[in-house]
Amino acid sequence: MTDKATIPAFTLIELLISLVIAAITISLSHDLLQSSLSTEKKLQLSMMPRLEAEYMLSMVQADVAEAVSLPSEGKKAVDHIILEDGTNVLKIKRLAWSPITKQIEGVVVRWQFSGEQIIKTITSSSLDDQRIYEIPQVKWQFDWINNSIMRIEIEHPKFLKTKIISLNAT
Amino acid sequence: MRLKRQSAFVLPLSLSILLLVAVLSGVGYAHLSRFTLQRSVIIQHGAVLRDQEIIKNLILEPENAKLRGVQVVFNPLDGLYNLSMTMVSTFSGAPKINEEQYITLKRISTDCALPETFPSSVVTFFQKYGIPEDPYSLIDFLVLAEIPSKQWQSVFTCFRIAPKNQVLNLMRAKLQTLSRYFDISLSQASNLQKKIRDKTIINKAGVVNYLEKIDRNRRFNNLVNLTKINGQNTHRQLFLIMQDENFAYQESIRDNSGEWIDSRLRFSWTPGVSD
Repeated sequence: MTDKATIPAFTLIELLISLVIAAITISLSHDLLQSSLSTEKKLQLSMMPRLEAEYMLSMVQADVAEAVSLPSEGKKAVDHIILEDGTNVLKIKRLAWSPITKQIEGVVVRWQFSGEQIIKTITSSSLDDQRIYEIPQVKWQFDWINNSIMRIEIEHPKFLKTKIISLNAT
Repeated sequence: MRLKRQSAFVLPLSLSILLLVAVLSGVGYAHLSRFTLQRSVIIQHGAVLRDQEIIKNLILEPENAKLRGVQVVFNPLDGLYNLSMTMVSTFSGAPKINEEQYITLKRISTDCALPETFPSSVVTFFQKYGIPEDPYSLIDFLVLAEIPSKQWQSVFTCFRIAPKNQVLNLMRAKLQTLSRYFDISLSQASNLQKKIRDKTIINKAGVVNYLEKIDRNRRFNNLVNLTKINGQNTHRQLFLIMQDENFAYQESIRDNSGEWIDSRLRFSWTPGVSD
């Protein structure tokens, strides 16, 4: 009789407690995941285009910063061309490290901004590379404040971002 | 009768909580990394710019630079042929070819194993972008003129680019450059340089006399006009080196007051020097 009394088993109260804890935990985790997913969705809607635009602008700015200088005007070798269809093109001559020759070489970086699509082309004697980026619902505007300071404006239904880029070679 | 409590009750509960925490952490990490990836690229660019500013200041304090593992090396450039000498400024502003200097450029570039197209690339460059009036870097020229990188070493060995007043320094020029510049033999070039160094020849008229004795049928006045015979260094290049690797380049020109005026400091890569 003594042996039967000590057979391993959960007591009813333990089972009830565990069920309650499990219910609370599942409910909490569900809420957490739900809020996490909805936050992600919200961030995606509001932050992602903003971050992508910021990322794109800093890449353009880094290319301009590395552009070589012109010999006589004290400016960097950056050409701004507007194509017939309104596409803005920035042509930048700069130094870059070639993954093919494993050497520093001169490259021509061409940024093409046409509405939501941005195309970056890198060409040199050893390299020919193209990358395509997309930022939905975005409009690009390029203005010259003077002959060496350019303003790039990004217009999105939820934000407006402006970047001033100096082409001075100093 | 006494019921024995089950120790197994705590384990599955703990495991399920750990599992839950792990899942939530995983989701959270993926979530955060996705949003911080692009932000980190932006922050990295800022850090590079900060390091470049620190390095610019290190040039003025070579001892401090040494402590941070950066070696500052200066090289005089006055003995190299200045590419701007191939052009003449005109009133209209568009530079014109100086035929005699263009032939000289062809001689030097052939001697430096550069392709036949190099002199015409130089002229096209000046016609398109103008002649530099301030310190300018040969690297900028090479990139802008789209000279293939395999020719860069030869160009660096034989040429420089600077404002037109930076003429060829006969005292500092390599014998090969002197020989090709005046189209004389290496031994004649060596003799000329020796006479300049030991002050047997003290002015440009003396150089013209010496050269016209070598070839009486030629007139050397125009060539000699674009030279100087004093030993002062007025154009130099700067290399910044870390762990035997060159990471930055700059050229400087001495102005009339004796101050060095610098071109842009050009980084091929930026070492981390922030504390």
